[in-house]
Amino acid sequence: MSLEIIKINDLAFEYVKNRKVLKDVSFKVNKGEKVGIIGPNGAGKSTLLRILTGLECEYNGSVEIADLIVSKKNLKNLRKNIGYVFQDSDAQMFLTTVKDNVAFGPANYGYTGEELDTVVNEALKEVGIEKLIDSPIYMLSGGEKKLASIATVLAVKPEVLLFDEPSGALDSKNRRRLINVINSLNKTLLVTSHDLDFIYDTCDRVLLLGNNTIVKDSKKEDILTDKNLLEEYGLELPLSFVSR
Amino acid sequence: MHMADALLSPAVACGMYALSAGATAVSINKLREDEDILVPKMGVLGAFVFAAQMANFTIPGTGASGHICGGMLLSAMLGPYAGFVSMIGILLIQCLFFADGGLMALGGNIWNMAFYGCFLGGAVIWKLFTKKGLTRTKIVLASVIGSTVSLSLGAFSVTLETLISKITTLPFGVFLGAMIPIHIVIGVVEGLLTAAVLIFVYETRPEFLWTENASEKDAKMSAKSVIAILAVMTVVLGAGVSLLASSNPDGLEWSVENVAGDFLESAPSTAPQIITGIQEKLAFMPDYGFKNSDSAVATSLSGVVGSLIVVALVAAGCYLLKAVKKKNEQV
Amino acid sequence: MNRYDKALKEICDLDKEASGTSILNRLDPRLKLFITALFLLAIMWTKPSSLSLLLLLFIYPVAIFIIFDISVKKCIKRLKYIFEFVLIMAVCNLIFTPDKEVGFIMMIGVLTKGVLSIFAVYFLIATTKIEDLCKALRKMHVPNVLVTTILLIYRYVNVLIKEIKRMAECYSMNAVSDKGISMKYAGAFLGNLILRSIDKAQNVYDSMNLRGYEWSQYNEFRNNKNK
Repeated sequence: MSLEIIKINDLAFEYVKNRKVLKDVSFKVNKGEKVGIIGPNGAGKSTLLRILTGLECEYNGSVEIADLIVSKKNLKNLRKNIGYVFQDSDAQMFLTTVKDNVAFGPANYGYTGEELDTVVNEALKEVGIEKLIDSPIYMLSGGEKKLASIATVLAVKPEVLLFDEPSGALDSKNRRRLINVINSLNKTLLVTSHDLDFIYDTCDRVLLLGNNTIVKDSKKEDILTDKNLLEEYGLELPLSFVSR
Repeated sequence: MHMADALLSPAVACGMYALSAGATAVSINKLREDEDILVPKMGVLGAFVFAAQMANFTIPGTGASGHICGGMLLSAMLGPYAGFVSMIGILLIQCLFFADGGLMALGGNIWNMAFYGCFLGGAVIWKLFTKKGLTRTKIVLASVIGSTVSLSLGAFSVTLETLISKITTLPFGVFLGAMIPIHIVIGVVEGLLTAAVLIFVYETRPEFLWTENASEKDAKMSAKSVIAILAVMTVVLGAGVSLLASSNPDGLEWSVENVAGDFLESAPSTAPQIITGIQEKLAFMPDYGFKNSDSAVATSLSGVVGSLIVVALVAAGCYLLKAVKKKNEQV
Repeated sequence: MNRYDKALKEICDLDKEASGTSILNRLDPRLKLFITALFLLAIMWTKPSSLSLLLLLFIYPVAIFIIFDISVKKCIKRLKYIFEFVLIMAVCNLIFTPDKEVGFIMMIGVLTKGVLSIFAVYFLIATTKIEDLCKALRKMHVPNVLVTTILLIYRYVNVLIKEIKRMAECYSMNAVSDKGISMKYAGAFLGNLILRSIDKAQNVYDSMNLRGYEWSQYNEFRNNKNK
């Protein structure tokens, strides 16, 4: 396997004819890299993630993950390598208890019995909520729910993890906890967020999306401290830089 | 409108299963092509109707309960075939997880509640009204007419099936008289509600409504298959009725009926005789049985006491078994 | 706890109970379905007037409830509305049958039959998870669309109740009276509910597929692993 795990070339996409959501998007991500994707509402961040997961397959250009082209045909093998943490944790947890939900993915890939239990426990340990294994979902707090939903994805052991707005609606303590969890993961990460401090704390590289394409692709320091550039695309400096 | 197992005879239950299975096979066959897009929608709309059906009015006089059926709404949004399949899903869950409607009566319930709503309400009436484009008035008319017609037909079927089963002694007129008017009322209410929902969907996301041009070829076929299924239904029901009418109770059963009164109707089958035979062998009370007693109540009473003793013995045995098991585990 | 939370908890409890580990829980759902169907047929074949025979049939539920510790109280509480229905049905037999003695026997008979069949089905409910049941249905060659739809309906009930809760709460915050939702807004309320739920449901379905639930290839996946 080459070092480049995600390869996107000349990607263009539209939901409705002649209304491009993405155009001329090209970038590559190396294995283990942590990339933040920022941009105003409607810039196409979520769409980009949906294309990477194969939820939207009707695109133009080429998208490859771990040397597999994203297409209907390859979905089965593709999805073993890619995990998607939804913005809405409820979408990810449709079964009764934390355990059931975390076990759902690996069970689909054929794990059973003790093997399955081990995978579930490992995943919960990675996010630090082993104690909640038997809790029903409806009793979890927002922060716990977010961590549990990450565990459901980790249990499948994907190579690439995609986070859609992970820090939304979390209090500062849970937000810090989430940052620590994300930083402890030894995976390739793509994070979309409006919370630029969060991006600064979790990523090394940032892609700025604007006008349906990539405006700038650089190290996080270059983009997140550039007040003029951010303001041009309706964003503001991360709070941690404002005070300086 | 969910029928319980207790109200149907095995013959009627099986007949209804056969009819519903036929309609299901046709629908699933039709779905093959675009099932991928439809499945999540079928699930969520099914859940919606499922929740809506929880609101249950009891109809005084018959004990039957009335609620919206939802077949009309599902067909208008998913098309009759997908609508029908989701209705089956709803009814199966209600039956298997909430004990609403019997497992054996499921065939009948599918027919009464899903078939008319989806194929008559959806494939015929909704199609007829919306063929030349949608308007608010058309949506209201189609929903109200579709719901009322399909609910009344459903109620009529419930009455018919129960009567053919000959399990209750309710007079036909009383039963029908109670069922139909209330279901017409429910039908109108359901129609108006359905229309309100559909109009909202029409004005915000019209692409979610099923219309003929969306699947023209299918719609043409549907009328044909509806007629075919209706024809099969007529034949089966007709055959069932005549079969029942001509079946004379024989031997043991006949004598039992002579004593106990001719209100006892029997299903056309030999199984009751076998069971009655077993029952007689099992009896250990001397004057157990129907033959010598003069009143029906007295007849049953001796048997009742006997049965209760047997059940009590079995229960005691079970407790004993459990106690022994526990003891063993402790050792 | 409001009624929406209660409903969510109820579903959760039912799920938890059904995912126990007793022999009955682990029994092949197909076998359980078959036994239940057989028993129901026996009930149906027995005339309401042969009360003694009907009572004899109680052996089966009584034995199962005792041996496997299924709570009768919970069963009755959970299925209260169905028991009520059976009761009304039975009483109607008494009222509408001209001969009161006959009517009385019919009433008791129908009542017994009703209670028996409820117990029989409850045994299935209390010991079988929907996932297992769906697996069994698949093995019985029930078409995949139907099985998946059943699974999804059951799952989306949660999504829907949460959404109703959210909307009803918002509505009551803005409505002057708290008499429930006025008919005038019913269409918009329900319509909104449907549209939002469709979007949510699409998310849940996507999330299932992303974690390997390719419903059309579901069996294939399993089989490959087993080989």
